[in-house]
Order: sequence, then C-alpha cells, then structure tokens
Amino acid sequence: MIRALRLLPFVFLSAVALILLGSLYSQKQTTTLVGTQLPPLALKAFSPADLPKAPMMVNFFASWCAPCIEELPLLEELSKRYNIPVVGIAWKDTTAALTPWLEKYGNPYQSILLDDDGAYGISLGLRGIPETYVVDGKGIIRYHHLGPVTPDTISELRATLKEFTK
Amino acid sequence: MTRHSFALVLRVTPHSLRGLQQAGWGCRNKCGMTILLILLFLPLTLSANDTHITRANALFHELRCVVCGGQSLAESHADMAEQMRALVKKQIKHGMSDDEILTFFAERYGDEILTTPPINSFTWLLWAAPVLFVMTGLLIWRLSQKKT
Repeated sequence: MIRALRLLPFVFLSAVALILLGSLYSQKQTTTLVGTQLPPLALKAFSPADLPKAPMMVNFFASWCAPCIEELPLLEELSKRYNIPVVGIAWKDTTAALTPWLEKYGNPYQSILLDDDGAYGISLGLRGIPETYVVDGKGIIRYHHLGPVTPDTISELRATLKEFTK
Repeated sequence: MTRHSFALVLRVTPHSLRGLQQAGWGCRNKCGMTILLILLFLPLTLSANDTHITRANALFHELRCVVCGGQSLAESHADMAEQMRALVKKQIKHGMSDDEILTFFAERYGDEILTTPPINSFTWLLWAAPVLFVMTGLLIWRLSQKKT
C-alpha cells in the first residue's frame, strides 16, 4: 500500500507534464476573436478609396516591416483569384514613409487605413505584423493568419477563402 | 544694445505697472476665486493621477507580453508591449475598471495573457497541485508511522 502511495507523486507529476505538453502543442496563438464580429474599421484613411464591403481580407502591415514585402504579391494573387478585396492597415506607420514604400513594392490594397497608436490591432488580438484576417460577408472574422503569407503557409488561407467565396 | 533695452524697460515699466494695477483691481475677486479653486482641486487631480499610475503599474504586472516568452508588460521592452501599456493607460483614463481591462485582453489573447491564470478546467490541476502534494506526503508519512 505504502509502496503504491509512494508512486503517487510521480504519477501525478507525469499527468501534469502530459497535460502541459498537450496544451502547448494544441495551443494556436491566433486571436480568440475568430468567429466574432470585426470591430468597426473606424480609422484614419490613408488611401482615398472607399472601404470595401465584406467579405474581405484585413492585412496588418508597415513600411518598416521587412517580411511584409514578401507577402505583397501573394496577397494580390489571392485577391484576384478569389475576387476578394484586401484592406491594409498600416500599423504604427506614417504617411510619409508609406507612399514611397507602396510605390517601390506595389500596392495590393483596395483601401489603406492608419492604426497610428496600434490600439486597433490590439483590439483584434494582433501579436505582431504582418498578420491577416479573413472576414466573411456578415462581417465575422473567419480566419487569423499569423506572420507573413508565404508559399509555405498560404494553404490554410487559400482553403478558408475558397470555402466562403464559392 | 543692452543699455538701450534696459532703458526701454525702465520707460515702459511704470506705465505697465499702473495698467496692471488697474486691471488687477477690476478682477481681484474673480482672480482670487480662480486661484482658490485651482489650489483646491490641484491636489485632487494630482492624487487621481497617482492612483492611475499605481493602477497601471499593477496591471502591467498582471498582463503578459505576447511576443516575449514569460515577461510581463512591466518588464518587456518590446514594441507591442509598449503599445499595450499605452492602451492600458488610455483605458484607465476612460474609466474602465481593472477587471474590465483584464477581460478585454483575455478576450483577445486568451487566458494565457494573464500572469495569474483563472481556475478553469485546464488550470485547476495546477492550482490544486501544491495541496495534493502536501496531502499525499502527509498520508505517506502517516501510513509509514503506523507501520513502524
């Protein structure tokens, strides 16, 4: 009996370790707001175009972000292929820096808004930039893509877009 | 140049003083009242600011930086942490309670953003672990005592 009880702490510790490991691997770092309404895009506009209606992709980027350059052609390709507009939100950026950056690397955005103080991004559970959100026709966030959209990470985003732009 | 400026001041000063005195007599009561009110409310404003700073600092320790492993907002130098600290200060200024602010962040980033996670189906084991360890230890000790 005592021998069995002596094993109890080890059994218990192993159980805790397994639970922690499991939660570590299952934990997706995406925002918990997936499935909820996109907060109103009440931000200062950089580009003059009117805000497109949902469905749309909302992409956080900045002229000071190197990985953002990499995803620009892919965003454009997705936008054309699935006929979905991309709203760019320049996170903590300035108009002076954005203009030459967009001229140099291209502009896949239908409309660009400025998140000067970064608060809108935080209200969407942003962890860094670039990040992309897919919003359906009802304005519900369907998918949150962490990091740059690259040929290696594009499949899930493609699948989401395919699903509700049919 | 300096002498000239000095002379100008000397020439102007008596007249200005007279003007000021006249104006002062006219608004003496109002000015006095304003100063009194400022003196009355200044400590209150300062104390509110102090409370805001204390609350903000406490909240910075209760929130984890999402881009730097294990560090709280108070410890982190990351840009994102800086933005979050600014947002916390703004939320306090807008009259949000501590619970409302913590809920705002937990709703967006999950409970993992809280340095003190709440007790739920995932975390109860962690919270119960110390008690369970002590109880098991006591039980083993008791049983071994009885045997000897």
